[in-house]
Amino acid sequence: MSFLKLEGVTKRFPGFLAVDHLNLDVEDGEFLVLLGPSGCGKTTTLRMVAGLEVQTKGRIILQDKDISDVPPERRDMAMVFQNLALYPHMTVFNNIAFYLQNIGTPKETIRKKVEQGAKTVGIEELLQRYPDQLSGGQRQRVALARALVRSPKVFLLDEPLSSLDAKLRAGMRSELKLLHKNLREAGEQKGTFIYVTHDQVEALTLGTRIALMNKGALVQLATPHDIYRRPRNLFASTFVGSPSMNLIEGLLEKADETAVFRFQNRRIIAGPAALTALGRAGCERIPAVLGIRPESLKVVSEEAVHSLEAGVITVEPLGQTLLMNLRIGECMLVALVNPDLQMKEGDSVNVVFQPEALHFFDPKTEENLMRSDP
Amino acid sequence: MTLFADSISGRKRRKQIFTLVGTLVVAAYILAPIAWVIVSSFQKEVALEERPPHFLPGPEILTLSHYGFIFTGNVPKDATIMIQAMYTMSGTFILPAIINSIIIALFVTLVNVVLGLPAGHAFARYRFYGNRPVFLLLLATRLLPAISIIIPMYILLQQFNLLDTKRALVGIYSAITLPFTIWILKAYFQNIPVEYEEAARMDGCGYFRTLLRVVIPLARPGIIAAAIFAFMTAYDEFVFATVLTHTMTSKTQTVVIAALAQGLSASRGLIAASAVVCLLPPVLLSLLLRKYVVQGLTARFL
Repeated sequence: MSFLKLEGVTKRFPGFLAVDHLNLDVEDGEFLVLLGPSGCGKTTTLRMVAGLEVQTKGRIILQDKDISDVPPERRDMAMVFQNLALYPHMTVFNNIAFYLQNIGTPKETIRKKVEQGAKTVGIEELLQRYPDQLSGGQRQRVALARALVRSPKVFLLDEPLSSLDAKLRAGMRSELKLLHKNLREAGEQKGTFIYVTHDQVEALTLGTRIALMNKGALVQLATPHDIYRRPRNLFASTFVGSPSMNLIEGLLEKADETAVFRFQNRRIIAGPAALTALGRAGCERIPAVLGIRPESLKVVSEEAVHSLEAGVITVEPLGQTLLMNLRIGECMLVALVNPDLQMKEGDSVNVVFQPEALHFFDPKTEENLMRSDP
Repeated sequence: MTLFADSISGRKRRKQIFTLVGTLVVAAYILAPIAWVIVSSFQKEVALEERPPHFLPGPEILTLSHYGFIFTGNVPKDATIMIQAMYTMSGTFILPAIINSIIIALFVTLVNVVLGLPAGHAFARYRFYGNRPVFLLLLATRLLPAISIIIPMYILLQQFNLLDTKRALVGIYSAITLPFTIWILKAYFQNIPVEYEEAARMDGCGYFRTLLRVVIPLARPGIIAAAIFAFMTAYDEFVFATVLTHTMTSKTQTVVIAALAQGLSASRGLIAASAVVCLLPPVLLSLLLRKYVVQGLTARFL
């Protein structure tokens, strides 16, 4: 039985459908990331779970109880807002203690809990300050502590790191992950997180599962590994991963015991896995879009078996890796290669497409043709 | 003085001087009549009759006798019989009238805050059917000149036996001031990010607790500005007060001051002194809360 369940949840704003018939299961103690481009309905979904928006249709079920009509103050969920929303007229202590004060917790208990919460995020010495006397990172911690001391059923986080600069963001990301791990191991409170972001790096690093959304609908719900390795459709394949997956339009066809992908008078061995896709379609030849991640492209200087010749357009050293823009015929490709490779703009190189790294998509439905599940 | 600091370029300095001169001219235009009232209130009646007037009176024509009459009811002994006759009964009514005005204005302020706060909040925060039209209609009532409804209002109050009561004035002034109060508060609430209120909901606050613990503290400057505005409007109102009050149970300071100037002979000094005494409560109030008035009125409107 799932911990939190969204059943056919729909939100219609005047003149626009924000969330369309969303079904989602959240397990106890998991870190679910709602990922998607802006306007995909992820924040609206989070706000409906919080009770700040009321869904037009559908039910939200928490621990087997329909909470659709329960107001936000009685859902026992904590939320970290995008702009943090620390009360500017209260000290850090009162900010953190506010919930406990509202439910009438004894003063001594409040003091203990607040101090413990502040210690967890490392802001013990800031309790008497006001929010405007804090740095961005410190405010972030206060917002986290405010959620933590409540031991809520669910933690809701709406792009909490977006206000921080890149370096701080990476640091807070690791801390969040550690925090979730510790909560999980502490046991008394499972620590179920729902985290909204448009940043696929945050999603991949933090999530135990990712719910990828687009245009108000759920595209794929899977572990970060699966989302990355087995994107359900073209949208998933390009939204997750940076630089995004290379796509080539062409034909997938049967050739002896294997399948080959043809485009612009070139052919790539697609491997036996692609045969199942052909088999499912019941044709010898189908139009397809080939997808391959930049780091899966093998770039070599010497001609190799089944390699294709490519021209180097630009080379961008990124430190630990080298980003290469290549051209094969009319196709532009991006490859991430070993920075020690001595290649420069204008060189002619050879590219190897390893069959196991290939994805094939239906150009019409945009679905992944190689998915094993129905 | 920073105004003439060496670091400022000549052009900038000239601009500042113009600004200063302009400000002084406008200030003089507004303050000169008040200054003259204050100066006259301390002059003997005989001196006030003289032409040209004494803008900077010498000690020989200064007196506190006008204030003495207001606070004690003692007609100045040194004055001529004719001037003594100019001290009308109304002069001794100034203090009770000010108290009436303050009581009425305080109740109007209370009504404005208690009703205007949730109303302004609702207009600012909730999408409900008719939000915009109702709000505009509310503002449109401000366009109606008071004089046009005064006769029907008189008859209405007569029917309800409310003529010559403070309650009637409190009701009317509240109706006059509420639209503006709601407008100011709505604008102020809209400037406060809604997330604070949402965070309060998540932190276990219901509607009233959110209002009390988060909205009101954050909107304090706006609320104080709106309250002062309501107070001032009620304190200064004349037209309704003069028609709807008859005795000292409800006469306000504006009505009593006006009464001083009726008839052929009126003491200029007494009028001036009364005006100064009546000015004191609102002046003290705005000095006390000056910080909030500026903050509250400079919020972005509409």
